[in-house]
Amino acid sequence: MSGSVVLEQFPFSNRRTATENITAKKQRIYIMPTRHGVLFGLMLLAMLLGAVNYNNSMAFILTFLLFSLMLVTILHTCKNLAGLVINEAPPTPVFSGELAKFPLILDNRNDHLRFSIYFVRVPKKLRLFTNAKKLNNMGPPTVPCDAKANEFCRVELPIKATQRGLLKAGRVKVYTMFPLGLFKAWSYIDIQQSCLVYPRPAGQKPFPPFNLTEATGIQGNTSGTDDFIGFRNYRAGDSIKDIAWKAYAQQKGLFVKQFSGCGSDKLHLNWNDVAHLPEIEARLSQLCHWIIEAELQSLLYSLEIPGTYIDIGHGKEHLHLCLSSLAKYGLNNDNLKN
Amino acid sequence: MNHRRVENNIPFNSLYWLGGGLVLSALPHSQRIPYWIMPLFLVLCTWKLYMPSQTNFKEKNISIVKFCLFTLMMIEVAGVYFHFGTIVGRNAGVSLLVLLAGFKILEINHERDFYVTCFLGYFLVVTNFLYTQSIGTAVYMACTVLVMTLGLVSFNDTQGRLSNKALGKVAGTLLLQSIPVMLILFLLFPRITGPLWGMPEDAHAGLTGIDDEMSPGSISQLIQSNKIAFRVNFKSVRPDQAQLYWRGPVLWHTDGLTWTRGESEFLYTDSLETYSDPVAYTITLEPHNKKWLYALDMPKGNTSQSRMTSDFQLLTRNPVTRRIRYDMTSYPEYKISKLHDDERHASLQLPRQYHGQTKAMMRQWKNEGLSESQIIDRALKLFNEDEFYYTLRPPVLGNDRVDEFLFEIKQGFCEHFASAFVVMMRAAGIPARIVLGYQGGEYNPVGDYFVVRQRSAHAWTEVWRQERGWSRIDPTAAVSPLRILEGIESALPDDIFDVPLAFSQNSITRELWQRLSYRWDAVNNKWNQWVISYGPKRQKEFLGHFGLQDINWSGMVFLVTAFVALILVYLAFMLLKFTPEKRDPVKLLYHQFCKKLSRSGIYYPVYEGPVDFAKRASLKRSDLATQIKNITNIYIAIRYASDASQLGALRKNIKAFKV
Repeated sequence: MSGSVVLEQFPFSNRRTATENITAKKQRIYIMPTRHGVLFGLMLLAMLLGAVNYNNSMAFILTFLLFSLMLVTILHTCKNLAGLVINEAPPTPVFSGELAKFPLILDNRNDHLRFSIYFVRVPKKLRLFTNAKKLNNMGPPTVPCDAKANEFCRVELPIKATQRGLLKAGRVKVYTMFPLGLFKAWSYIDIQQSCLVYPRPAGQKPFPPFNLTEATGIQGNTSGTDDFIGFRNYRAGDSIKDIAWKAYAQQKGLFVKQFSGCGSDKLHLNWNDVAHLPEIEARLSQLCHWIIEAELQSLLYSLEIPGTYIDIGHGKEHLHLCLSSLAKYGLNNDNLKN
Repeated sequence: MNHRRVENNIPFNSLYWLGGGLVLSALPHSQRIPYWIMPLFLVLCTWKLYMPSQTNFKEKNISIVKFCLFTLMMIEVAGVYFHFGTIVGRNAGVSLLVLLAGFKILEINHERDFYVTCFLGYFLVVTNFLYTQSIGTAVYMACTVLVMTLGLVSFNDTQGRLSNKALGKVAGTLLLQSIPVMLILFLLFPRITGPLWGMPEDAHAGLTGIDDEMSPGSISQLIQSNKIAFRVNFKSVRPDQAQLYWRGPVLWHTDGLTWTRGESEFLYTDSLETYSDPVAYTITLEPHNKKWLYALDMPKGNTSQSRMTSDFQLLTRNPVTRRIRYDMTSYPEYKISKLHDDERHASLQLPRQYHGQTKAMMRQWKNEGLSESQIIDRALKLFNEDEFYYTLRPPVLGNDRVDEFLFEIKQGFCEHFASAFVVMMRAAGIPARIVLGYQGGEYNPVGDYFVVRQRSAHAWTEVWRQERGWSRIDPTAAVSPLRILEGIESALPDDIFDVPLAFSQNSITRELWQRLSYRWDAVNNKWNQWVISYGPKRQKEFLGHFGLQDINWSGMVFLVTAFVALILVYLAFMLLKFTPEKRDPVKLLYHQFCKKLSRSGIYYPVYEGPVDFAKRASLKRSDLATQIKNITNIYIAIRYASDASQLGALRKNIKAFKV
C-alpha cells in the first residue's frame, strides 16, 4: 500500500497512531547543528573565555543563557517534526521532459503549528561528504511549508522526468531548522509511489493510412456517416450539419453528433507504421504524438506494439491505457512491479 | 550536509527586529566610544532598514559601492586608533565592534550575513557588562536579547506566518525555558580564579574611591557622589556612629602641596593592645581599583587577600577590581604603644620651604611652655572658636595651602583641617599622620546592614603621645561636631542627595523615599552578593550548604551535567510528549468503520474523500454496498451538514457493520 510515515524522536516511544486505519512506518529523526549553529557555539566559547578572564558574572549569565537557549532549541527543532505523519498520494502521469510532481500530504495531528518544513531528494546512500554536484542533480529543496495544527497540508515534490517509464522519487529528506536555525532536524522517507512518465510526444509524420482492410478504399479523416455513436463537445471547425440542433434547442449546450462506419476515423496505429524510424524512443514518441492527436480529434484508434494490443476505442481511459503501454514498452517486469 | 542554499531574500520583519536589537545593544555604549561612532552606526542601520533595495547592490556598480564602504570603514578604524592610541583596549575594542556591527548590517544579503550580524549583536550585549552589571542593565540587556532572538525566529519563520506578538511568544518561551539550565550552569559551572590573560589597561577605569594622595579638593569631589563604597554586616553589637571610622590609606609624607603614603612601608607587629570587646563584621567592598581594603579602627587580624602594616592599613597585592567580601575584627578601644625610630622620623617630616607662618606660630606656642596635650587642645580650640567654617565648596587656595587656610581663608573641608592640623603638630614636634577613609554609615533596616557611600569619605589625623600611643584626633569634629555625630548628611545641603523634588517637600514623603531607597539598596545588595560577586569563593560557600565543600573539579562537572540532563529530559518530556488527538467521536467511529473495511484489504488513504472511498469499497465488496452507502451518508450528514442528531444512528450502524 502507499507509504505513510510517522516521524519519531525516540526509538522507544510507543506512540499510538492506530486510531487511524493506516499503519504508519516509524522513522527516526536526526538532529545536528547547522553551520550557523557551529558558529554560534564558537561565539559562546569566546564569550565564556571573556567571562572567565574578566570574572564577569553577567557575562557568565549571558553565555549560559545562550548556551541553554541552544540546548532548548534542539528540543524545539525536534518538536517541529516529531509526530508528523506524512502520506503519499499517487502522482499524475506526465510526459517525458515535464516536471513530475509527487504529492505528499502532511498530517499534523498535534495542537501546534509546524513551521518551515523542507523536502529534498537525496541519494539512498548518503555519505558524509557526498559531493555537492551529485546533490545538486537531485534538485533543489521544496519551498518550505507550514503545517497548521490538526490539519492536512499538501506539498508537491517536483522532479524532472527525463525518461519515459516509471519515475521513482526514491529517498526524500524532510528537514526543518525552525525556530532559530541553529539546528537542523531531519528524517528520511522512502517514497513508494512512482510516477508514470509517457514518452515525449514528437514527430511530424502525418497519420498512417486509415484502416482500409474492411473499408472500400474511401479515405478521409472526416467523421464517418454511417452509424451514430454519440455526442461530443463542439469544437471550432466542426461541420454545421453534424451539430446536434435538437440538444442545442433544449439548451443542453453545443454538441456534435459522431458517427462511425465505413471510411470512418478508425485509426490503427501499428509498430510497423514507425518502423522506418531508427530509434525505439523516436518510434514511441511518434506513436505518442499520433495518439494524442487522435484523441484530440476524437478519432477511434487502436494501438499495436510488440507484446501489447489495445483494441479500438477512445476517451480518457483509453488514452491513458495506450500511453502507459508506450511508457512501459520494453521495460522488464521487475521495473514495473512497484 | 546541505550545500544547496536557496538565495534568500532577507525578510524585512526579521531585519527590523535584528536592527532594533543591535541599536539597543549599542546605545549604552554611546558615552564610552568616540562621539562620531554612534551617529554613523545609526545611519548605517537606518540606511539598511529604509532603503533596502539600494543596499542590495545588484547593479553593475557593486564593486564601486563596496570599495567606498571598505574605504569608509578603514577611515573609521583609523579614527578609532587616533582617538584611543590603540585598537586593543576595552573602549577601543567596543568602538570597533559597534562599527563592525554597523557595516555588517548594511551588508546583509545572504542568510549567513544575517546570522553573523545577529551573533555580533549578542556579543555587543556582553561587552556592556564590562562597564556595568547593575540590575537595570541586566533587565535592559534581557530585553535586548529577547529582541535579537525574536529576529532569529522571525528569520526562520520563512512563510511569515507569525505575527509580531506570536514571534515574541516563541522567542520568550525559548528564553524562559532556557533559564533553569542557565541557573544550574551559573551556580555549578566550575569557576576559575583570576584572569586567563592580561586585561586591557583601561579595563577598570572610571571606578571611584579614595586615592592614596591627598590634595585639597580630592575628597570634596567624592562627597558629591552617592555611589556606594562598601556595605557592612555587623556580627556583634555595632559601635556608635561617632566611632565608625573606616580606615584606609595612611599618609605620612607631604611635599607642601600633596600628601602621599611615602616610600617606606612599616611592617612591625606587636604594637596593638586592646581594651574593649571585639567588633566582628563582614565588609562587601565595591571595586575601587586600589590596593587596599577598609576596616574599622582599629583592625586586628587579617584577611586572606591582604597584609597588615604597622600603621594598620590592609594592603592587597592586586588592585581590587571586583566586588569582594571579607571578615574583619576590630577593637574600638585600643592602645598602640610603640613608635619605632623610622616611624618617628617619617611622622615629623615637613617640607622646608613651606608653611613658614604655621611653623612660626607653633614655635611661639612651644615657647609659651605648653605641653603636648595643651598644644593639641589649643589647636582644636583654634579650629572651634576662631571663625573656621566647614564648607563643601571652599575657595581655591594658592601656593602655601596650609598657611593660607589657617591665617586667611579659614574655610575648608576635612582634608584642609586634617592637613593643617598635622602640619601644626609636626611643627610642634609631635609625631602625626593623616588617615584617609570613610566616616559614618547609613543603617539599612531592611537588609540589616550599613551602607557607606563615597560621600562619607573623610580625612582625620593620628598623633603620638608618649603616654597614650597613637590616638585618633579628628579636627573636623572640632569645627562641625554634627558631621561626626550624625554623619555627613547633616552637614551637607539637601541638593546633594538624590531625593527627587516630588519627595523632598515634607518629612512624610522624605521618609517614604528613604524607605523605598532602603529596600532598593537591600535588593541591590542581594544582587551584588549572589549574582555579581558570585565567584570561586562564593561557589564553594554555596556548595558547602549541601555538604559539598570538598567537591573537586570532575565532581562539579558531573554535577552540572547531571542537573542539566535532568532538566532537559523534563523539558523534552513536556515538549515532545504525545498530545492525544482530539476525541472527536464521529472521527473515531468512522475510523472504526475504516478499520473494519481494512480487514478485507480496502484501505482509506488520506487523499480520498469518504464518498470516493465508499464507491471504491462498494465495488470490491458489493455485498456490503448498501451498508457502506448508509454509513457514509450518515457520516457525511454529521460531518459536513452538522447534523449531530444522527450520531446514535452512526454508532449503531457501525457496530452492526460486519465484514
